[in-house]
Amino acid sequence: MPPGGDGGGLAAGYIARWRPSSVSPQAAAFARDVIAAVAPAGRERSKNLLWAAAKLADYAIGLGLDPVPEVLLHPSVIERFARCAPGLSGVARRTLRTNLRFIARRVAPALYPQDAALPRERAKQPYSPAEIAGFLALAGAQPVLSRRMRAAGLVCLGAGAGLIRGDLRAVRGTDVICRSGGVIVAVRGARPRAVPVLSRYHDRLLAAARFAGTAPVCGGADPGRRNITTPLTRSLSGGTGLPRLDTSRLRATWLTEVADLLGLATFMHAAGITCSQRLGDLLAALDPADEATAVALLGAAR
Amino acid sequence: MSIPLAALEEIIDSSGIAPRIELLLPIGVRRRQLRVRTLLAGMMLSQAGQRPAHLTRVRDALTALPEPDQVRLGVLEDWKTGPHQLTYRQTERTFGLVTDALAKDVPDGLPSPALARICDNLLEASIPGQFKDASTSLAVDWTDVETFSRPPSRGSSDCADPEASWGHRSGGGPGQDSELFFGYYASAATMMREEHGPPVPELARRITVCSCRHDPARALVPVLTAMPGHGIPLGDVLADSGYAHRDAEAWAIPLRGAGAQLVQDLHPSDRGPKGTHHGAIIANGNLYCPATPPPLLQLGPLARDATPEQAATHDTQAAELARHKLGKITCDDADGYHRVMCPAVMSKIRCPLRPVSMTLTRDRPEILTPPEHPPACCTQQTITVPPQTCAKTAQKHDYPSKQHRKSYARRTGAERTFSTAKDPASNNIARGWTRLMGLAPLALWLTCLLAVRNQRILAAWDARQDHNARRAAAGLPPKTRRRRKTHTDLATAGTPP
Repeated sequence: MPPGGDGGGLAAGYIARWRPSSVSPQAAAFARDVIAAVAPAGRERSKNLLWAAAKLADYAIGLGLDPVPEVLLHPSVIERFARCAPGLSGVARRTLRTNLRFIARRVAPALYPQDAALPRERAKQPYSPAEIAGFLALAGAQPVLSRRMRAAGLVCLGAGAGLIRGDLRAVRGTDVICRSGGVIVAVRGARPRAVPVLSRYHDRLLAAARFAGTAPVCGGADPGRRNITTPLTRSLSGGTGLPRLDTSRLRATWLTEVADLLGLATFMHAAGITCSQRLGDLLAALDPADEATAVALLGAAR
Repeated sequence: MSIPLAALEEIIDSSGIAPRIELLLPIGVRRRQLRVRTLLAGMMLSQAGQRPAHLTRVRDALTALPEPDQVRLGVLEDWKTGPHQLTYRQTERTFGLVTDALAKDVPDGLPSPALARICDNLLEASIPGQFKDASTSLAVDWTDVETFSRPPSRGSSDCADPEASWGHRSGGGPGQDSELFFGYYASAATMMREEHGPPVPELARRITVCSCRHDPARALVPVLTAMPGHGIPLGDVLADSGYAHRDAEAWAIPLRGAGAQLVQDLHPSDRGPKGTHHGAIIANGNLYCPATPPPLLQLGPLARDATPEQAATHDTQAAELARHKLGKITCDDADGYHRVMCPAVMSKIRCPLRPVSMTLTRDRPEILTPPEHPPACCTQQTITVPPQTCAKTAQKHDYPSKQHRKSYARRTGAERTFSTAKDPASNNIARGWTRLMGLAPLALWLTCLLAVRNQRILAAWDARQDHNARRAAAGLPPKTRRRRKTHTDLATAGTPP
């Protein structure tokens, strides 16, 4: 039983007795009727749902709508309430809408057909250091020099600088620069930036860059072609005990390593943050450090 | 406050009524000592002195003037026998001639055209030039004027004032809705500020009197509709439900035809849904979507003692109702027809019968259950509305709405006009104020009274403007009237200082 929950029977009694002074008696009666049909588990949940239903009814009755579930729990009425009801904070609007949709799904299911569940994308699993070492060894074992260099460049750019897709394909040998006390990849494309490369990939990446010269490090002539990395990935797959090479997992590996270097997990734990959305809002107002500082911070010093 | 004789004489002269009345009077062998101009001045002086409307008081007022003024006005004349001062008999004689000339040959309880014109001119002349075009809005109302005659005994019609009749007025007793009285209805139109205009002095601009056997609303219509012909355009006409409840042909149609915009309270019998036109609901002078929530169509006017919260709720409901209104998209044509458009087509609401409207954001009302068999107003983009639809109840603003309430609040000026004429501390037109019977004497006296009352209003207006100018010079805001404390205010007031 959740905290504050007194069981279904007590919740039913609480619902039947609920007569607040902040809403009209008609709205309270509507709320009692629909929440009794929802039959929430505990008293606290009942109170929240009653409040949501009563606020909706108070608003809608004032607009001349009939206080019946088929009208007040209609998606358009709930949406209009959430958008236009006066005197509610943004947080309250979101909470009320969620609660009202919950009520409506149970009281007027015809108005809310159940959505089919679709898989949700999560962050990819990073590779372990042993797996990265395996990929590098596999790259070094390629029969042709050019493929050895391209395969090593692919792994180093992915796991050492977190580059994927267009950013990865567009990197040329001349874009890998020794600067600011470390190795930097000058990324072109939609979000041009300088990315410090983790120090343990420096030698291999510099070798691959020297070999590529002005050509793309991962091979090919036109970075716009999307299948440049596919042959390389295929040639690095099939090793004994190694998973399939995935550039997204290489990036996840880099992100994990850099987050560890920065102590991000410690910071977020201390701040009580689990989702990065608000963190992003806050960081938007801050300027990033200069390149030398970034090299030192992100473990790219030579 | 006394009004100078010169101001009253200027009103009489600028109205031009004295020579016109003189022309109507019979010419005898002997010249009348009391001229019409002097009689009118005496009548206005008696009212300015807050005296009853008795002819003795007219003579008192004239004979109390300084001797040079008496000589100038003909109150004091040299006769063969020596100086002769005006007598009561002469006053009564001239007044009788005037009222006989202005009355109808066969009295029917309505003023003669000549009397109506005289009243219009005298009252119009009491309005200074700078205020003649200050506003076109008029607040109208009628009040009871009891005749001095006793009513006829039961079963007979014989009485001293055959033009008077039985009428209804608000009862004075507790729980008494109305009571009967024997006399006349006096109607007045008072200048009010424009809706968004600066304040103007509330001057009575038109008056008419009719017997209680006639409808006072119908009696006022020709007076108001004649105003544009005299170069005074009609604007907002603020009237209570007593006027709005009349047949459209008796009140609303002729006034609209004269260019007036009606702002009126609807009678309880005229409020709410009253049939349909091409499926659209006719209510409160507008056409509404057939799926309008019924409680909104039953929305009545806000109670006078409503709290700010109740007013806000009422305004919200009125705004919601307005979203369901079929919008007018053309002016009335020569025959009075106009076209209106579905509110969903006008993007005011979302309606499944208008698929385009369903792409609008959800902050608009949505029609959840559209008509199963859509009427013409739901299938056509627009419909034509003939003049007879809403002829009685159509008005300037949606009824009830915040705009209507604010605009209609100006109507109380009409009540203030009559309150100044029924003030026991000054002029009080209660029974006995005048003992002259018949419509013509009464109308003449009432016109003089309102002309004098206008001068008092102007004097107070000037004093207030001077006061505000002094305050402005001292860096203070204009003085506003303090809200009267109600029992609720007193009960909820905090501890005394």
